[in-house]
Amino acid sequence: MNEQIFHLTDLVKRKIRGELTESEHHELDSLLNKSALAREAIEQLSNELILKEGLEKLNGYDLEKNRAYLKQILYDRILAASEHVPKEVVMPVKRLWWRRMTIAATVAGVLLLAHFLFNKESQYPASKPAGSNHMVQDVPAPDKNRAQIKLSDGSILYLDNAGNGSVAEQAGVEIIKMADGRIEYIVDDGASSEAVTALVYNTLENPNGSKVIDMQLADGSHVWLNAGSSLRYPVRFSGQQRKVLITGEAYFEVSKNEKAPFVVDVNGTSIQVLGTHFNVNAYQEEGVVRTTLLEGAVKVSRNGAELKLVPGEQAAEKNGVLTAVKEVNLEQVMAWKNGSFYFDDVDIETVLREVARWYDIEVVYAGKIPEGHYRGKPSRSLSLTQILKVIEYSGVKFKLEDKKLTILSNG
Amino acid sequence: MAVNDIELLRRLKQGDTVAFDHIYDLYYKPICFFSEKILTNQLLAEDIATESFVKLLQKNPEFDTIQQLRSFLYRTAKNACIDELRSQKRHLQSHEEIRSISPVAEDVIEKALITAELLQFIYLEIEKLPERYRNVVRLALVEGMENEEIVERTGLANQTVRNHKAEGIKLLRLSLLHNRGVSPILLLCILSFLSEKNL
Repeated sequence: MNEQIFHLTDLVKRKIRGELTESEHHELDSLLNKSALAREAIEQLSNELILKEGLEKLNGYDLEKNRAYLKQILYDRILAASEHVPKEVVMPVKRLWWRRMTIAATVAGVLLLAHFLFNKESQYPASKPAGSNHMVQDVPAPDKNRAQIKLSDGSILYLDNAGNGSVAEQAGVEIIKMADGRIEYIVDDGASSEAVTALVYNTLENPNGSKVIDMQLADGSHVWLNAGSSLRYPVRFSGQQRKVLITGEAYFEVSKNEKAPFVVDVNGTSIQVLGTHFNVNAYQEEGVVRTTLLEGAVKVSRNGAELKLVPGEQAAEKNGVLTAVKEVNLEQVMAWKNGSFYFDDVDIETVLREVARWYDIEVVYAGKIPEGHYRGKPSRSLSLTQILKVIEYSGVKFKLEDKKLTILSNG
Repeated sequence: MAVNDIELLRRLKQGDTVAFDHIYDLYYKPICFFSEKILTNQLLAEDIATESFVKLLQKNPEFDTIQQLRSFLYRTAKNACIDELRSQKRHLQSHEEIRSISPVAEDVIEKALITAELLQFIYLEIEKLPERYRNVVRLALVEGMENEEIVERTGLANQTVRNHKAEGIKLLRLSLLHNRGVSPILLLCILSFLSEKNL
């Protein structure tokens, strides 16, 4: 495959546009004279049937099928590029009784109950307790929403900069920012509906370290988007489906419309609903897509397999395989939307993945990943150092600087 | 090269998601098409196209022109297709044969490349047609609808559909696809194609 083939193709394109100079005409002719193959390929497209077949084929590839996956790789790369060279940090000398407790917990092999620590936030004021000066600077809980909307023309609307009221207009649909920060898409009934045949898409992106954003779509459905998540949706729905795409985590309250099912596409898994309340957790790094139904009915499908859920059930998709989970702790699933974390006997990596998204920090493990399990329901309005207290008291050494948390080892 | 392209490449290099979307929208479909022509398997082709973009993101090479970026994507997809075909044939052949014989003729690859690139070009040109023609041409050529179906879908009169289709296709200037030094037989084919358009 040589560059000349590309050059030839580009000349043909410009010929169709009528942009060729006389000398380029000659060049193209001589290239074509030399290549029977190129002539054949081009002449075939002159046949309407072959052209149609090709265009139909091309049109059939779904651009959205893998976009979110690629975006995640891009985000990961950006995150990796923002690393800084760490400075030497002095680790604190831990108080002995905490140490004993940790040892006891480890020896017994039981999970470390950090519950009481997490729940008594008043015990841990934001100011640093004596002896824990290893945290160069605290990271406060997200205090505002830093979401942005990518409009259909590719321009970006930064919601934190936008004032209240109408912030943009897309294909006859007004985007309104409410006083409480909620975003609403309002269809202008006066606009002619027949003018709208093609779907116009916007993408809402809520980065790590940003508060949950609440949006009302043009059909009246509500979506809450967690930090580190995105939602791609038509500004106005038409046709027989209401289809949106997500990455990360979102909670939906879908308005009823029997004629047009609402479909959530998430990395190859499809969730079809008529009107209902459900949560989707699909963070790439968690490795599992969890769809949890709170109200109504949904159908989750993947690779031809289907699961119908009743309220209180969950569909878990891992490596393309769907599994039903019958007993689900709904308080745990919905904790993010209700302003808290909810850890129930989970390892340090699981805790820190969620912490990393909320505080927009990077977590690295310098040595062996510490064992032990954590349990608790800390508020999401705590600062990072307050959350990290529990990690510290379990005997794990770490350092935090420039929003990079390095876990050193077990104490 | 256009200033826009330089800016686009600069932003892509920095990890700008909008720039990435733009590149992805331009090249994902033709690379799927290209790979499927070689592999004759749509799912594999889509995977390979996606992996080409993964490599683009991970290697994040420096490109001077948008054409270099395009070559990178096609070349990556081509190599992956060849690897795939080799692994499919592995159980049939000895290692020596696998190494020495390409599993696919270079002709097939070049033709797939030209077809993919030109189809994508025509696909994008259709989107640039004046609005009144665009819809009808799109339904006819991209969605493969017959005139009657288009009448039903759009509510336009049958004659209007024919006129818009003919006018739109004329504006696409696809008649220029054939070469000046064309053989009489090919010319006949093209003429019949054109007359069909002007029904």
